Amino acid sequence: MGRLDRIYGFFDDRLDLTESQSFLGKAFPAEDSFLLGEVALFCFLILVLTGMFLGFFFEPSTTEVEYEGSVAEYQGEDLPEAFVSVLNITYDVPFGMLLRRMHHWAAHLFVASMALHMLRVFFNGAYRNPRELNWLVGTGLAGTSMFAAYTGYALPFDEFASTAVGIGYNVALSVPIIGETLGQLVFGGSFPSSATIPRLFFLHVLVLPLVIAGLLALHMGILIRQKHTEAERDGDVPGREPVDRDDGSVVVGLPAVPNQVAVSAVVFFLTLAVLSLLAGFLPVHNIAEYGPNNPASTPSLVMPDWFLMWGYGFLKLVPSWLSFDLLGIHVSSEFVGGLLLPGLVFAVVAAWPFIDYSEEQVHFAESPLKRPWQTAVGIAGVTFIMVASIAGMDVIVADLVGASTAAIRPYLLGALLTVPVVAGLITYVTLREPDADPPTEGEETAADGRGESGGRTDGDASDDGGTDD
Amino acid sequence: MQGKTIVILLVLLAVLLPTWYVASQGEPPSEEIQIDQSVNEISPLEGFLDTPNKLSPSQVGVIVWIALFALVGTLAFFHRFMNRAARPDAGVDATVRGTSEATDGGAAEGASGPSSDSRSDGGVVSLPWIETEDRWLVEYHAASDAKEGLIAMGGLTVLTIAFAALFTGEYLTLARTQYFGVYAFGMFMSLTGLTVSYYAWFMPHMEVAERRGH
Repeated sequence: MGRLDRIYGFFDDRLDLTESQSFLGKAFPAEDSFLLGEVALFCFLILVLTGMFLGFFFEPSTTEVEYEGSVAEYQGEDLPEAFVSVLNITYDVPFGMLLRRMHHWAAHLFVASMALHMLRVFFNGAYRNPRELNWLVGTGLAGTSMFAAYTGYALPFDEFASTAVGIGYNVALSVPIIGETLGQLVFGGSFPSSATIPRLFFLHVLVLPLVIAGLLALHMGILIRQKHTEAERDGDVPGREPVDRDDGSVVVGLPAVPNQVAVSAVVFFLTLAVLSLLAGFLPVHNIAEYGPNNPASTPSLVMPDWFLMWGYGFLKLVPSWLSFDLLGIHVSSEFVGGLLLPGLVFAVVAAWPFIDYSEEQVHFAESPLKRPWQTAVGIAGVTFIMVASIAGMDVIVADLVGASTAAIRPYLLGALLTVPVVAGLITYVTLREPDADPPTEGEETAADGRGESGGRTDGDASDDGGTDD
Repeated sequence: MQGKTIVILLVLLAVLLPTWYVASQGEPPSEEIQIDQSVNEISPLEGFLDTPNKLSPSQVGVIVWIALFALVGTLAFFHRFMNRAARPDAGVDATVRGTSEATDGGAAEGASGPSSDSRSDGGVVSLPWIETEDRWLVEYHAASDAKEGLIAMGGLTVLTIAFAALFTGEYLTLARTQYFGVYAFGMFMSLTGLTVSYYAWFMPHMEVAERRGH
């Protein structure tokens, strides 16, 4: 017996590896768009690794210290320690600027890839029975990730970030009844207090990554148990046990080892390559340009990160007269725009699988072109978020059209209410009309296997199964 | 179908393009950060290309979405290349048909016989986790082991080593961020190419069917 065999035998005796080996053959349908989830997963891994590097050098403190680093502009000045430590990471630690930028770009790519992944699942109808639970977990992941990014945004305590975080603090205070407590708990009291950065640091490096990691593990666990959705098959699949074209009780794809592992390696390397290029050439959150937090001034262009821009748009568009009292409790317009409306959007997203509910299990991803009203709602939702984002950038819009923000606000509000409806209606009318082109052979066959819900269903509805990738 | 897709894409672009146009408007460029070289020997800002020194959060949003679409496009290209190049004999029926076949995880030589048959190179494919009670092989293509694969892998190995050496060398000298970015990009793209080449030319292409309920 060779040395390797003896080592394998040692672990096999204790962990029963041979018995669990069959897991290595798990089938992954070979669809390009199904890899988006892996991009998000690898971004999270890169975030953890680069975050560990940054954590070695970062000081979560607002105590003033004299700056002695290499940035000429700030030499000899008393600056917050957090700001100084990020300056040092950026300009005085080898690899520091690259890895800090990589951390930032990975955070943005993480949120973007997750959003695109969710859109893919939405438009393919891959959230339907039995995948509702995993859609809920995914929605929780999206929300938590945005909050994790927000807490990290604040840490360097530069002028721009502290202004943006200050807006978040005011929104937290606006929560009826528990606003003050929430402000104390998350921000450590009146922002910016000396407790703010340590609290956000604790949330950013421990609590939220653990929550994200836990949700990711749950997401993957459900996926492994239920298995992937599958795109339309070209035809019946022959083999030891022939599989019908529309048989959802079986999933067909590449085995995890060796094929899918190699595909995943390609996703990992490509994600790293893109992040390297972005980090090498494009500064993101360049704190030396913004300068340290200055309570006496306001930056010329105040806006949050792009993925929070739609919520900022609500905050800007909700008129101040919308404040009201309900049973003696004051509900401010900041609460309505900053939390209530974004919360409603998240609630609708979370509830969607139960709105577009399928009684039968559905294991095949369906073309968005075959789902008129669901696709119309999706397009309306996407355009709604985009118009709200434009409203969040109203300062830029006002500058472009040469008017004041107050003058353009009614138009933006009108656009927010009408553009999504028009976009949704155009989509619905377009998809509802019968196709002018003669159906292809594949389409004809696909229609045969379609269930009541519009998608092909599991051969045996009593089977347990499926989630999206 | 194509007409409908175009209409929906036009609807999306009618909103997306104005959003991106507004978001791409940033703040005016400011002065470069001056580094005091007497304090530190590394020069992270020494680059070979003029780039913006500040990006607004909205500009970051546009850039990251373009980067994501580029990443997905590149990924789709490589993914398809891997699967296409892994099936060199499109005309050959590579379906694994019988129960007795492929019990060790793969048929040899285009699946014309049981997978436990000897391959032309004398080896036998054996992946015991592929074939179980609830999972079975439905397609198997032996690796082509083509000469171009060997050439590609050799060239990409040299490239990977060269970029890794440059990356390390940069650390030992000026630690310039743009150079780090280019070297890291080259290194990871070479590793991507290596993996793609190995998959396409030296790894058998397999597909399995698996019962969901197990």
